[in-house]
Amino acid sequence: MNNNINTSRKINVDFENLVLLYQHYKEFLLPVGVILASILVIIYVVFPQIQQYFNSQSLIKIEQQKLNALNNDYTLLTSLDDATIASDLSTLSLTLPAQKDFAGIIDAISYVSAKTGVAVGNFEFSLGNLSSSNFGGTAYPSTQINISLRGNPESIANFAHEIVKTMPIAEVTAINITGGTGSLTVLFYYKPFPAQDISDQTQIVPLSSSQLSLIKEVSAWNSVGQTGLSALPVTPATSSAGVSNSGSPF
Amino acid sequence: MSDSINLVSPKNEQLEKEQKRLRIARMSAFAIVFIVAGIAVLVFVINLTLPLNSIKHNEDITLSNIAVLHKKLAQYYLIEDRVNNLANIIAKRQKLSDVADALLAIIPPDLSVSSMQISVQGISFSISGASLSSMNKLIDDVIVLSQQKNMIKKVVMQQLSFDVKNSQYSIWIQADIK
Repeated sequence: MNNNINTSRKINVDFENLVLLYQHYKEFLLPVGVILASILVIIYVVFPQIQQYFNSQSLIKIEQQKLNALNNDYTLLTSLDDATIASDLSTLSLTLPAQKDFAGIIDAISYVSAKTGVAVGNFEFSLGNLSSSNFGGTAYPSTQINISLRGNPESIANFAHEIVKTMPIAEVTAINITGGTGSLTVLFYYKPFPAQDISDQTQIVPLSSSQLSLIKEVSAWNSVGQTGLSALPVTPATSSAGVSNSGSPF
Repeated sequence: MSDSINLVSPKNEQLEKEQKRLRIARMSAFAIVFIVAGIAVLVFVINLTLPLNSIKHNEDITLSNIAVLHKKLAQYYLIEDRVNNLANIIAKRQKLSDVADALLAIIPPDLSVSSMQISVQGISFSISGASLSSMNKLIDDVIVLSQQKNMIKKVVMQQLSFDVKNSQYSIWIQADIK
């Protein structure tokens, strides 16, 4: 500390001068070193930790939303009545079968015939395109039936009116009435269950009021028979129109 | 010899300044170390106490609870699928039976339906009877059906004939379905 240097004067950087500088400033080396080390700590430790804090905050937000969604799913599932859900599924599966339901169709025709007093003559089935590619998305495969009827025009129209309110779901595409006879062309729809894996993490969307009222509406339709859940197809992933129908979807 | 004596030498003043700088440097270094260490520890503790693990743990618990209800979940998805598909079919299917009901409802009792064809392509029906005024009323009602009830459009009366032998009028009307 005793060696004073006039800093305004030009100096030669040689070994002696460096030694002189060191001896003069050696007391400053520790504080300056500590300050530099602190800056390094800020850059390499504090900043990453702060960054991690903000990342964690956004992660917490996402996870919290996921947890809330899961809790909502759980609450919704626990609030559903087992008997009601089984009954609704059974009714809906009768209304829109997962595959061709010849027995259901014939039962429906017989039921409506008896209800409207219209005598049913011959009828013929036409199955249309059976390739599985025709069953996905919003395509609805159907079984077309031409039914010969005997009755007055009002009762034949009444037959058409009733058949569209009878399970399985049908659409009348043509009505021909001539004198005391008539014929209907009816499409009976079916739709394989969707090819999807049901994950516990998939968020459940509660049924809307329109969906609930639709369930109520179709539950009031004419129904000949009720089958249990055992008659449902094997998995929800089925997308073919195959006839085999074994096991439960669960 | 000088009269005044300088008791403080320039060397000592310089020395004091150097020592003052050194003190400031040391205090600054200490303060910076203290602040940096404090911030580092604080942020570390805050990161440590974030509830991320607790949330994930709760998620696992809820998922295991939902897994117990998997059958119900599957049933629920199937119900949703059936309802959506039914809604689509009901929305797109033609209501030909309603059209048939509406047409039959406007036919006066003294007229009879000779033939009626209703399809997606259109309506064609032939009505016969002995009363021309009833025929006229039928035409008026068909127009009302077209204009007010929005069921049919482009109503065309194709033919109005009279069978002298049986004293029967016959009218043939065609229309499109809306």
